[in-house]
Amino acid sequence: MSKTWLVARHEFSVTVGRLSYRIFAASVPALAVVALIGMVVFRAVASDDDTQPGVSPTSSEPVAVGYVDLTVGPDGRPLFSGHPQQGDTLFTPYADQAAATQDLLAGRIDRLYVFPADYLATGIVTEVRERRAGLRFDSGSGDSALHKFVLANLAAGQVDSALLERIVTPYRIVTLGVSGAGAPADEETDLGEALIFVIAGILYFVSALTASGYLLQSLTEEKESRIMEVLLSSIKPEHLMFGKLIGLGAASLLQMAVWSAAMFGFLMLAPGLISELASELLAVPAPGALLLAFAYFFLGYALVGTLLAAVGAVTTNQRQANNITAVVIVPTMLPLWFLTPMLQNPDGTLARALSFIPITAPVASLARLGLGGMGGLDVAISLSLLSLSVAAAVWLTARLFRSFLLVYDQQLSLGRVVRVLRGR
Amino acid sequence: MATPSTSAPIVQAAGLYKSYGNLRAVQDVSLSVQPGEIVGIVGPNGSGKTTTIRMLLDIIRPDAGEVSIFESAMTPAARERIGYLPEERGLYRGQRVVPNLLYLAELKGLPREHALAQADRLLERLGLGQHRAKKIQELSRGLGQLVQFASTLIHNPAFVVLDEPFSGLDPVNVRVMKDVVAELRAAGVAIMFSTHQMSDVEELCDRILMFDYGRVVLDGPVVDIKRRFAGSEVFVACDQAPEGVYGVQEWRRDGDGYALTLSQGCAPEQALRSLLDRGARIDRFELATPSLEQIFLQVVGSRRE
Repeated sequence: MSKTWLVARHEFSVTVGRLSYRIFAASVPALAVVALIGMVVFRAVASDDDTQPGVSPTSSEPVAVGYVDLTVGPDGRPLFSGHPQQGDTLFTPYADQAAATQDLLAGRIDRLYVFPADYLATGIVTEVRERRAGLRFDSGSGDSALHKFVLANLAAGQVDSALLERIVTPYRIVTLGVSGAGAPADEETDLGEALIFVIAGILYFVSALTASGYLLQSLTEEKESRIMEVLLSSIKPEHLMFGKLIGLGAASLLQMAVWSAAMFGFLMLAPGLISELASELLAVPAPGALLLAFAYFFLGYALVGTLLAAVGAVTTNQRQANNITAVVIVPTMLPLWFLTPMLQNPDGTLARALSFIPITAPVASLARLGLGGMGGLDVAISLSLLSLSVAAAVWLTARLFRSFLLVYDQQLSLGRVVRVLRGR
Repeated sequence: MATPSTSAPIVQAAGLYKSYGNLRAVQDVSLSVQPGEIVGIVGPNGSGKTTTIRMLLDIIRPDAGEVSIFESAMTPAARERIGYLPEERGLYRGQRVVPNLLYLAELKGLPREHALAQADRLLERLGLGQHRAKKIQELSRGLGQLVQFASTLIHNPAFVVLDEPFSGLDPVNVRVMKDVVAELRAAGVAIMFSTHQMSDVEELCDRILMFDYGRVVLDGPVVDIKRRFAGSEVFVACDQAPEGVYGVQEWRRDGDGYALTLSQGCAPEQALRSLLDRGARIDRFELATPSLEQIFLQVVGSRRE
């Protein structure tokens, strides 16, 4: 096994073995489990309350609604005598309010409405409820069903059945996406690809931050514990740096994988929650989108990781390193500050500039790709500049590694850094 | 252990220079170490010892000069034949003893299963068997140093560099390490040994390199150097004061005998014959060779003046 891989394996196993890493990695799955348990408990409570009078059940179960109609229509008959079935809700007329109230209290009906004699003049409908302490769960289903029930009965006989249907349900919106040429586009593919870029952007950002933290911790610990000189007698500084980048990047990716799996599991298991989003996540994205997302993720991590390795090399302790880390991390976050103008104009000058500057390119480009506002030429320029900057960063950091890894207990001198970079 | 060789030097350096800014840390240093030889590197703090060692091991690059190790420039294979115990010592404090040793051994090219067997053997040899499962941070400083010594030797190096190996160790552990060093020499391993303890150099080293202001100011076998600085003093334990003895320029009482300073041109045996002729009963007569510490102070002191 090459020395680089040995270092990578060591860094990975040491980092993954840390208690802090395990707690951090387990935090999202733990939150997902807690959220799932909370939802199950919530549903159980709601379901329990559904058996009580005065509390409406969830929309997926049939709802029994009772009503007392005291109105008299123009034809001398009560206004609400038809259209009893509205979706899952069945409206049952009661002649006597006392009997209806008994059924409500006994749980035989879920709701009870009273249409008074002057309803047409006032529009007032009385809902009879059991007065109880504690929570009361209202679902919109009952109200919506009541709305349709009232409309259907008021308009019955006034209009034909087709118009009546439109009065009760005026519209249903469906969307049609179109491509640049104006042809209808595949909505699922577009959404799936956009999600890939969004996920890659989030993964890049979080893993770059976490891996950089691990990298700085590893380097400064080795400097502080004075093991660096032993390592450098066995391995070249460049190989040591690459090994750390690979190992700590893998540890960070493992953490991301655990978090992603936890979130995915949550989406799958959470009852009725964002099921459409979950199904999009399940869809296999286009290979080109995957390749682009991976390229930006990999090159972005390599650039940020290498620059932070340089920070770890030139600083002598964790505190000093943490102070200088901002020099690398803040520019990385720059596109997030300009997210609004980028969302408004993903192909504008600002968005393009940010996707060409290597340090901001990964976040900016992934955002633009997700928004569908990045052309092939821009992608090529952006990836080329990013690749060149990674190569330059590796070269410069290797120089700093050789010169600074054995510098202990000294103030950081910018002049010395510059001299080393200039080869003096 | 390494196969003894009597031919080419294990390491050879010629005309090494290294500067840090305006500071000339090492100037025109040349040296060599043969298989089975222990070379002591001595000198005041900041005299260039550690910088020279780092250049020999390719940890830092010289500004000028050449280093040949195992008859070529430094290669990955050559790195795997070197054991280095630096002055600035450290291990992964949060890790246990054996994983520390295994990682460092693997970096030296030793397969994991061989490294494990070697770790067991060395830990037993150094009296650390009962500590193998402990974390480094749970060990005393001395025990941690022994673990690091084990990591230096775990891959059976042919060239070992020990920078202040005994500092902070109790006498028992110093003895253990010295015995191991002697075993290495007997097995033909070339050893470089940097220390401030001249008594250790006298005890262990075949040859010394004395550094001062970045230069080698003394280089040669210990015996030869001591003889070179022996000068004209003799010690004699006898039953009468050496008053009027031939060739004695001055004398003084020294413990149970007398320290005699001979005049120039007077051989020690002439003074001995004169004493015997005077009927003195002589229990002991020896050349008063200076200690390495005295030589060190003399050489470095004269350069300071």
